Amino acid sequence: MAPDDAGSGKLWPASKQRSPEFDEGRNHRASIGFVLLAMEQTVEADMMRHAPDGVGVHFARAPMANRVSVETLTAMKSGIGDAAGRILPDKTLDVACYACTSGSVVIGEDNVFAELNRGAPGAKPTSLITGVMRALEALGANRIVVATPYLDEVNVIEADYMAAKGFDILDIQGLNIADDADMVRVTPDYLLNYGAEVDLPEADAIFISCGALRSVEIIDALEQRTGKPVVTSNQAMLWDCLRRAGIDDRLSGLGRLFREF
Amino acid sequence: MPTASVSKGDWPASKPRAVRFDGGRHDRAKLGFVLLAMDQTSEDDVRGVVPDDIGVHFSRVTMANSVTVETLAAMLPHLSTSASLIVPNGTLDAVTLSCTSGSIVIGEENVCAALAMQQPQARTTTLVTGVVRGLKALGARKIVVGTPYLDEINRIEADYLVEQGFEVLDIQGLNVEMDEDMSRIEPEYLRDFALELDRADADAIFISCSALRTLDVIEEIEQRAGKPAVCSNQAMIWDVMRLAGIDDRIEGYGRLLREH
Repeated sequence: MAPDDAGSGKLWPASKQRSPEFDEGRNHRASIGFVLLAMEQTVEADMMRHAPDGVGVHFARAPMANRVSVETLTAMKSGIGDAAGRILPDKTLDVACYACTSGSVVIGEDNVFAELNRGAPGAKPTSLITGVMRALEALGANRIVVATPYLDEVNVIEADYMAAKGFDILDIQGLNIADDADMVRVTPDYLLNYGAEVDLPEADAIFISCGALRSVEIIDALEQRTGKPVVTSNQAMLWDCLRRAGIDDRLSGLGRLFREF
Repeated sequence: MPTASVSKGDWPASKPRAVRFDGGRHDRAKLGFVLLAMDQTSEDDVRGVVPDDIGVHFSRVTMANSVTVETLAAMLPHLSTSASLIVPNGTLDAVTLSCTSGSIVIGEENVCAALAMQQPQARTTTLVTGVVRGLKALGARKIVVGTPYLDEINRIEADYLVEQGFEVLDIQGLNVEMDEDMSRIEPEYLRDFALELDRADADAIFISCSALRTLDVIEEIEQRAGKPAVCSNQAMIWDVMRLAGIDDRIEGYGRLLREH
């Protein structure tokens, strides 16, 4: 049956009529789309490792300079909607999320949501900082300490943003790292000690900010060491996206937030 | 209560700290995948097979919802932009286009040139390049091919495989046009489809398309057919890993990843 004039495309038989059997697909419980910064290297692995079976997690990237500053974060805005529009445009995502803590603060949640709605109409829009604040509220935490990898120019905006939303920011400390490629190389052990060091006796909870950090690996250890709830960017983002999508699974290994709320 | 204690912007400067760094979570290699906008299958397949200390990073390319020769060809102008968004700091080791039919319709050289434009340090490849390399590594010359595609795509794929030196004993498609439907075809149906297409004189079975969940049943197809089976995502993962210098043998996804 091999054609003797390869390349003509004329000698191949028509396919037989078949009736494929369909099911609800691998992602039958929910589909969540994440808009990532171009440099992002941590969120994909964190989401794919921890999202329950039956929940699809899908990624697209938005243009962003390698250096994380207020200026570069602000410049990302219109790329968010475009990227969201590239995630399963043939079906309605349950949730579309902008996966950048400092970016959602600098651009502002309302602007981020408008962009996500433009690209992924019908999906519930959320952002990383939105998930963080919902998580802190669920945990009943109002007085918080914040540890970030950022430059102080970003810390100031994040602290102002959260204070304006009603949180009492007892302290915010950054590591003064500008490049995403360096943030992903901060060791989890260092983050554990950093989180414990930033903690204050009067804090209700510790928040470790930034989707690039491998903080998801030390949540339980930091909660055990400090005896108080720990929220990290990717933990809060996944929790928020799952709960928005109607997925109420309690997961272990990701702190009190996922175990109890 | 909150803001009473601090005025806006009145935050302390961060203390200097001696941060400890390591090579990062993915210090062995970083792999990039450009997906069709509708892709629901590749991300899971790739992360499920590739070892955790290798980074797998995804970007999506604008594409019409239906899979035809025309819509596949229209992707080309968007490929380099999409590839440029995957960790654009010169550390990506290899990058591929995760679309079998698209790599054929656009052409491997065109795809690789587009991927390389903004990622000049990365090894570039395409899904169908991986399939051809995989089949050759397995020593297969006579093959049967199962696809979800329309016949207009099957003909182009069969012609392409013949040009690459294979004897295509049969090619059969399921006439499915929408990616979303392709991703919902039951893996057990794909297994039976593959076994039905198999012929005594075939050296190997190839099930085409990254949207299909063939990876879930590829080992079973091989065992039942008693011959090597290649599917798109298995061959893509193998090809990209090997191009990045990762020689791990991986169990559970057929002879290709176990032995080559």
